[in-house]
Amino acid sequence: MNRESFMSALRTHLSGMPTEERQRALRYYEEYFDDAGEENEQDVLQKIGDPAEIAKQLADSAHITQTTKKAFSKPWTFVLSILAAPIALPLIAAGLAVVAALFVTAMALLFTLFIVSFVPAIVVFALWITGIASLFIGAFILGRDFATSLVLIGTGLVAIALGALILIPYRPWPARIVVFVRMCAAKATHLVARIFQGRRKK
Amino acid sequence: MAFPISASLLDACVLAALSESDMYGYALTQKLQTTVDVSESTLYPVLRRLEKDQRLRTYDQPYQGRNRRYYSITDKGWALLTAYREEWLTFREKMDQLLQKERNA
Repeated sequence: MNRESFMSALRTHLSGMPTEERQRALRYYEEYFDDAGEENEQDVLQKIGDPAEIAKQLADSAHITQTTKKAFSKPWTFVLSILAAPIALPLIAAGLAVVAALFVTAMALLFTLFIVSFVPAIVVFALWITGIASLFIGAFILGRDFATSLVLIGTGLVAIALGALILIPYRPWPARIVVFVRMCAAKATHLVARIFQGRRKK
Repeated sequence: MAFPISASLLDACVLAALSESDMYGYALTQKLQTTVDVSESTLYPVLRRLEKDQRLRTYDQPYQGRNRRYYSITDKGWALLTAYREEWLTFREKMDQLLQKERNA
């Protein structure tokens, strides 16, 4: 093999590449031979390797950056999308329907949860109203009918207590109130203690 | 040579060589061959890839009635070289710990 046969072999192997890439590569190797000098031509040819291997390496590195862009040229993409429409459109419609169905289901679930979360509140409200009412009525007739009054007051207390019992699993509000009250109490005792300590020091 | 040069290590070598001065293909190959076993065939694809990634840029300079294409490192190339240098330091340290244990002890 000599310089000319190497270059023509390389040209053949690069024929699948874009023109600019091919020109650049060929130019590099032409220049390389020029710079090596005629006296080193055989030495270069021995080490330079197989033109097919060079073409393959170039194609590999070009693929990473170019194939994705060049897979289909624009007119082809257009034609293909029209051809694909009979299948693609129903598929898209089906996909949209699935998304819509999922959305409706999610909304229904949320609504149910919303309603369900209110049921205990309504029950508690009813119990407390009844309890407070019977407490009042019981207190009102205390002088007239002592026995009935006691029954009413007792029922009222039980109703209020039942309401409070129902609330126990729904911690957030009562728990927050408890925490708040405890915090206030702690701060108050702390304050009182400091005032007393200050007085003692004096 | 006992240890083959990986693609990224070859990238680092090319960038390091070009960080000293701009070079044309043949000179760069000669320079790298004093250190690593790189055949002429593997270097051009590497240079082209680095150029496409804007780590290198090329310019032509007339020489004896023809043009020589010089390769020059860009800012992005410097950034990559700096990263490679740091990576190399940690890699070398770990390798030394593994291979040179007796000497260190």
